[in-house]
Amino acid sequence: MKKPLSVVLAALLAVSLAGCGQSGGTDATTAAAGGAQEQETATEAAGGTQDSSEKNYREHLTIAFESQITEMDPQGNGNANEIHAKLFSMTHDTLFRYNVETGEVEPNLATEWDWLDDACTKLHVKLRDDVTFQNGNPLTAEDVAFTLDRISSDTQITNYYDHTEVQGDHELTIVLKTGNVDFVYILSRPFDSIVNKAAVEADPDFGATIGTGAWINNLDGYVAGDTIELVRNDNYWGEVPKTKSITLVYIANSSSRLMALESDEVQLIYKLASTEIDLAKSNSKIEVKEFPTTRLYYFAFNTAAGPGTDVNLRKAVAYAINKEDLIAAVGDTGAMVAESFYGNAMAYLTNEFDEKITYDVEKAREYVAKCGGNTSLKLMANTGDGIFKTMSEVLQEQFRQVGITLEIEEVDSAGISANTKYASATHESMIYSIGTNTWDSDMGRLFSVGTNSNKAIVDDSRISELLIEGSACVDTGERASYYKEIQAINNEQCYYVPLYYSSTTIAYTAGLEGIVINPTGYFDYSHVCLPE
Amino acid sequence: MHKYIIKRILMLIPVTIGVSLLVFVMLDLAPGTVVDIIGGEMTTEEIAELNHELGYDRSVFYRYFIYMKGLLHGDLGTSYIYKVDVWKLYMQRLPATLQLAGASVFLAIVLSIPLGIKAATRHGGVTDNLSMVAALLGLSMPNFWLGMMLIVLFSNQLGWLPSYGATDGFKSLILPAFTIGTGLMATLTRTTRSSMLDVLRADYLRTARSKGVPEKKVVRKHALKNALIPIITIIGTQLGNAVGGAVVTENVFAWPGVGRLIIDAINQRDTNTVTGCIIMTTVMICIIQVVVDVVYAFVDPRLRAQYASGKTRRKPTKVQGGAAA
Repeated sequence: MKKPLSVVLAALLAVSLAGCGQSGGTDATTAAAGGAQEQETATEAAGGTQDSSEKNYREHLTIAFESQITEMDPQGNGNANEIHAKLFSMTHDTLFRYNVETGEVEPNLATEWDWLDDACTKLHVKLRDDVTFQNGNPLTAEDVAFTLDRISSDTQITNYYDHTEVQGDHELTIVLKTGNVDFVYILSRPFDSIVNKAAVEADPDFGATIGTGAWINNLDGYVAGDTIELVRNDNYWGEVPKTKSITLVYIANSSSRLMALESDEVQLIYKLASTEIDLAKSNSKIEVKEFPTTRLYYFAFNTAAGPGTDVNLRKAVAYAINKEDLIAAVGDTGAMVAESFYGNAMAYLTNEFDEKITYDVEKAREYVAKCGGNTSLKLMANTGDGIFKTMSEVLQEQFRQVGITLEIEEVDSAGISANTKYASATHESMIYSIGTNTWDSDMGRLFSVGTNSNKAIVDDSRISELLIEGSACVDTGERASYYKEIQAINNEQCYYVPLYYSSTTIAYTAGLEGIVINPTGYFDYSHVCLPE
Repeated sequence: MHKYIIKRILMLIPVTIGVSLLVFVMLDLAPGTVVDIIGGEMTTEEIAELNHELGYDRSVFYRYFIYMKGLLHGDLGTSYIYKVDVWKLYMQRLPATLQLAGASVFLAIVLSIPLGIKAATRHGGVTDNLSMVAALLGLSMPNFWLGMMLIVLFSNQLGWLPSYGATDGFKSLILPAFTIGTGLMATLTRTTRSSMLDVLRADYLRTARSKGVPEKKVVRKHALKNALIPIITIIGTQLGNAVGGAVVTENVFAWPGVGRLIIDAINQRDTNTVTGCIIMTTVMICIIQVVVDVVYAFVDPRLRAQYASGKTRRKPTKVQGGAAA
C-alpha cells in the first residue's frame, strides 16, 4: 500500500544517523520473503562512509527520557505510548516493520503475509524459522497466537482481533471480527511485539520482558520507574548492535537532561524545552534535531451535552481561533497549523472543504449571534502541562474578542481522563493532543462510539458507517473517499477543531549514529552507537 | 526509658491508621483513578472490568479495609503502575533516600554547629555577622536554583562530579547533599547561635567563669551541652523531612529517592504505592523521633529522669490559690 504523504513526510523526518552498519548506509538487516537478506534502508550516514569494521565504538551509552518507563511488558496496561515504544523496539520484535521512509510495511518476524479474503478478515502469515527468544526458546506460531490473545487494553487490536489459527510451527492465520486492511500496520507498533508463551507462563511478572530483540533487559539493574539496564543480545537474529550496553534513565527535569548531555553523562535526550534549543545548538559537542511530529493538538467539544451541542457555538469557536498566535504563544517554532482533523502522515488527509474554516473574527461573531445568548463555555485543560496552560489563556483571550466567555477548569492528566470518558463525560470542551499513527483507520480512535479517546463524544452514524467501510476497503480510491468524507463531516460539524501538529527535538552527543526517527514517536534506538 | 520507647512505638498504630486513611480518602477525592491513567485506549467494558478488579467499583472505605487487611499481614500491596510489590519498590528507593538524608544532615551538623558556636561566642563581631549573612543566603537560595548552579559548575564546567543519579557512589551524593544541606545549615547555624547566646548569658556560666574555669571549657562542656536540646530538635525534624523525600532536589538531580516515587505515584493515582510509601515514611519518621528522644535523654539528665519515672511531661505544680505554676 502506497502512502504518498507519509513517504514525503518520512523523507523529511527520517534522520537515521546511520553508519553503525555497513558502508553506504546499510544499517539494518531485515528478512525478505524467502530468507534473510541484507536490505538497504534509505538511512544516510551522518558520520561519512567509513567502514564500521574500522571504527571503535563506546561500549556503554545512556539515554535519558522525560517520562517514566513504568514496565517492560509490551502488552502491559497503559504503556501504549512513545516512551515505552522506544524500549520495546529495542528488546522485542514485531511481526512487521514500518519503514518510515517508504511508508510501507516490511517483513520482520513475518516473512510473508497475505489477506485470504476480500473483506480483509483473514491474514495468513509465515514466520522466520531462525529466530530465538532471549531465553533460547525458538519463535513459533504459538507465541504469536499467545501474544495476540493477551492484548486486552488496546482498542486498535481488540476492536478487530478475534483469534489466531496456528498452522504449524511457523505459519498462522489471524482472524478478525471486522475487516481492517491496516491491521498489518497496526501490528508493526512496538506494543504488539511478540513475547514467549513459555516464559510468560513460567513467570507472569517478568516473563514478558523476554523478547527476540537486539537488547536484553538486565533485571539486576532495573529500578522501577527510574532506570532500565539493557545488554546486547549477541545471539540476535538480525544485525547485532555495536554498543555493548545501554542505560535508559528517567530525568524529569528538562534542564537537568540537557546538563547531563553537556557533561557527557548522557549521550541522547528526547525533548528539549523551547527555551533550551538555542543553548544546545550553541554547544559544538552536541547535535540537535528538530522535526515535525504526527501529534495533533486539538480543541474538542462535548457534543453530547451542554453548550457544545450547538453547532453555531462550535463554528464560532472554530473561526475565533488564531492558530498561528497559539503556536507562537506555546513557542513551538516547528509546529504546523492543522486544517483538517486528521493525522498529517495519513494518506487521505485533505484540506479541501466547501467551507474552509480559518481565523475570521467577523464570521465568528456571526455564529455567536446565532447562539441565542448561550455563549459561555467551560474549557477543561491539564494546566499542569505548561503548553495547555498557555493555550487555555490564549484561547480565553481570543474567544473574548468574539464575545465568547471561556472559563478554564484546571485539572491534572488523571483528572482529564476521568472527566472525559465517553460514558460519563462531564466536560463542556477541552484541549488535548493525540499521537496519530500513519494508517487511516487510526482515526477510528477519535470517532468510534464508546471509545474513551473519542473526546468530543461524537455519535455520528454516518462517520461510524464510513469508518467500518473504510477499514475493510482494499480499493485505495474508494477508501480515500470514505476518509475524506469523515473529514468533511467534522469540518462541517466542528466536533473537533484541529489546532496544530507539534514538533519535537532530540539532542545527542556529536557523532552519535544509528537513531531511527519516526514522526509518530516510535523511535528505534536498537543500533545507536558512538564512534570513539 | 524502655517503657517510653515501647509507648512511642505503640503510638505508631493509630498514626499509621490515621495516615493511611487520610491518603486513601484524599486520593479518592482527587479527580481520576489509576484506571483512567492506564486505561486510555480501553473500551468502556474493559475499563469496567479493571475497575472491578482493582475495587474501584466499591467505596473507598471498602478498599481501605482490604488494604489494611493486607497490611496486617505485612503486605503493602502491589503498585498498579509498576506492577511491583510496593515493599520492594520502597526498599529499592530507600537506600538512596537515606544516603541523601544522612549526608545532608551530616554536612549541616559538621559545618553549622561550630559556626553557630563561633558566632555566639563572638557576638556582634565579624565572624558573627558573616555567619549570619551566610545563613541568610542559605535560606534564601531556592534548592532548584542552587542545584542547577552546582551542576553547571561542578559537572559541566569542571567535570568533577556527576550531574544526575546515584550510580557513582559517594561522588553522586556530594551535589544533592550540599544542595539540601545548605538550607539546613542555615537553619542550624541560626538555631545554634541563638541557643548558645541564651545559655552563655546564664548565671551558672558566669559563676563558672568567676571560679576561673577556662572559657573554652565553659563553652564546650557547660554551655554547648545545655544549648543542644533545640539543636537536636531541629536536626530530628530536618532528618525526618529528608527521609520523607526532598522532591525538588531529587528532581533536579534525578535522584532515585522515595520523594520522587511518591510524587510520580500521586500523579498516576497509584494508591497502593502512595499509601505504602507514606506508611513506611511515617514509620521512619517515628523511629527518628524516638532516636531524638533517646538522644535528649543522654544530653539532659532531667529528661532522663523523667523517662525513667515514666512521666514525659512535668505536671503543673499546685500553688496556693489553685493557680498553676
